[in-house]
Amino acid sequence: MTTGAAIEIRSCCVGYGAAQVLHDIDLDIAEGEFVVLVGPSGCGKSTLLNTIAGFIDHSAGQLAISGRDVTGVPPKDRGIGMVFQSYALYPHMTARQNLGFALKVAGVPRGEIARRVDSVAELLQLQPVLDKRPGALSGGQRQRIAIGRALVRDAAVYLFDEPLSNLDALLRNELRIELKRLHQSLRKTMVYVTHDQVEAMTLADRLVVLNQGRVQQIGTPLEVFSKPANRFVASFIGSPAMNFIDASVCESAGGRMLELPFARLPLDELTSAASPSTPADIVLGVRPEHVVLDTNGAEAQGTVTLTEPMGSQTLVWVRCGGIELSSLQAPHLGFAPGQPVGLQLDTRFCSMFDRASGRRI
Amino acid sequence: MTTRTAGSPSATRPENSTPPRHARWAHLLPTALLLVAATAFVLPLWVMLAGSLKSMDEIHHGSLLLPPLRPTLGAWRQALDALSPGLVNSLLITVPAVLLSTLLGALSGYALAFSRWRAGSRALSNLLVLAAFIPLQLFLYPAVLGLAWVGLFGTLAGAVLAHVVFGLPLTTILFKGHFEQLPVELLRAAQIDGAGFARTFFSVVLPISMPMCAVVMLLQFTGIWNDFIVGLVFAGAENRPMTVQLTNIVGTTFGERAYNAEMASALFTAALPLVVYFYSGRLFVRGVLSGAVKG
Repeated sequence: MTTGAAIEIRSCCVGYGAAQVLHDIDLDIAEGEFVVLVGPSGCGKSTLLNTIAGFIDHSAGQLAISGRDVTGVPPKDRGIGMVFQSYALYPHMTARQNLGFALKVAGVPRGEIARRVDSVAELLQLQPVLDKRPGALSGGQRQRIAIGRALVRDAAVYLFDEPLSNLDALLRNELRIELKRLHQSLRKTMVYVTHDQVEAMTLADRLVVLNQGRVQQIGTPLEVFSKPANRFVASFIGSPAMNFIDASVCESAGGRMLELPFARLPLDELTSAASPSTPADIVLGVRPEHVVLDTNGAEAQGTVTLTEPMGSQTLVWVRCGGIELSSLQAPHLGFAPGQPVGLQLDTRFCSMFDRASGRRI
Repeated sequence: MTTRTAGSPSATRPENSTPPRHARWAHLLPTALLLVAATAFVLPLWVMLAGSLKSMDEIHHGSLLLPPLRPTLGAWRQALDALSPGLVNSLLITVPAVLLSTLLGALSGYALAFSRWRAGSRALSNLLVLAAFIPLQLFLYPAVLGLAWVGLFGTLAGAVLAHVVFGLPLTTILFKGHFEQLPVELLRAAQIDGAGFARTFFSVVLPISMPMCAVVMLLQFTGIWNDFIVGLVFAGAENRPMTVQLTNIVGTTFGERAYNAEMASALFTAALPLVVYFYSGRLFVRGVLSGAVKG
């Protein structure tokens, strides 16, 4: 199992029987890649990270870091650095001592410790707070020190367990950008766990979407966003959330058509993969940005029921054919509840799912 | 910060409004109860203090509650003469016994809290709880035999060892409970940083558990200082601690009882724990709460 990847995970399981929390995980992470594990709470993303770190033993499958099987290898010998959600700084040590602790334990000479701590502190702009204890620092500074403590070790792989979720929104955005810059300049392998899909989309080279202990989809953020592998991924990734419309395939004079509550669309327009085996019961997924509202020439008529102004855009809810759809519109268009509108779907960007299995067609 | 200002009366109540009627009287009952309790505790102390400064003549003819009219240090001189060797012995027994039972309790509590063998750790902890609540008198005879066998019976070291062994179940349980509350991420961080069992204990776990150490040491200090039976049985005739010597003074029944000297001796014996408590009271409260409140 040496393919030169930073981390290789082969049919990895954690837990047994009814208590199995991870099922058959397969994942290759390349050298220098930023991979984000994302999913709702309880999906197993933190378990997977802790398994890579060595805090949890996998019950089946293989796990290798830098081409070396790490089964049974304790965390300290896996060549990893880790950043925790709660910062987990040593409260009785100064920032400098926190940063240097791992090196001190490893018996690195004093001068070398000072040099490496200083260079990491410079990278993260921590020099002014180096002699303060964590208790005297703000949340952002604490998490920067926690990141620095991981970086000082010069590990092969860095693991982040929801590092920004304890920070307030403004600081979170700031540190998110800083982390991305850091990765661009260091080009280190990073594995990052979050339940926040915005964080996941913005940071990742590649996303791993997890649900109920299984991998749902692996791909670049744009792949996952535009071609979700199933209904779960489609509903979890993207904000505001995707519209789902129950539809069925029917034959007509003009070829096969997709019957929606408010319109009929030719199937060929929606997908090139339509085949005789396409199931009859379908769910059509349309993102709000692809629901076009127009007052004339539209194929369906609806009524605006609610508007949610979000600043740069307004989410307009339209009732049409007995269902409600959301549509993203520019705020200056001034849609208001009660207003009749024409409605059209941009068929180039729709996703079709098998209603029974939820899988993409 | 915000919750504190919101909760303070000045912030929530308009300045010239009167508090509800029951609130004005509600505090009277607890205050009265506290006053009664305080009197019950202070009165004997006062009687002892006043008595220790009186001559025997004055004790025979005056009321117990009156202050000394002609204060004299005679009784205190007697007490000092009689108890000084005991004071030294008490210190020689208490200081090492407190330090050892605390350190060893912390170490074994740490081992029990993070042992990977969960079933064994749980069984051992249950045994320790049992041991902590069985009166030590039950173990006296086997302990005497054991100490005699290793040649420590009737020595200071023997008394220290007995105190450490009898104290360990409680200190271990206290520390185990405390360590189990430590954030798991902190210990994982230490693991990632390469710290092993000893390094994690001495560089991370012990320094952040100082309030707990203070609580345990205080508990052990008062227990061991005030101990009578271990000192009597295990220390040997030359090494008797203050408490044992005090009973010898107070218990003598020949001739006239020197109440003033007895009171001075008793106060003298109780002085050190009193001073320690007085100065560490705040620390004690902080330690007890350290698990409950953040930071």
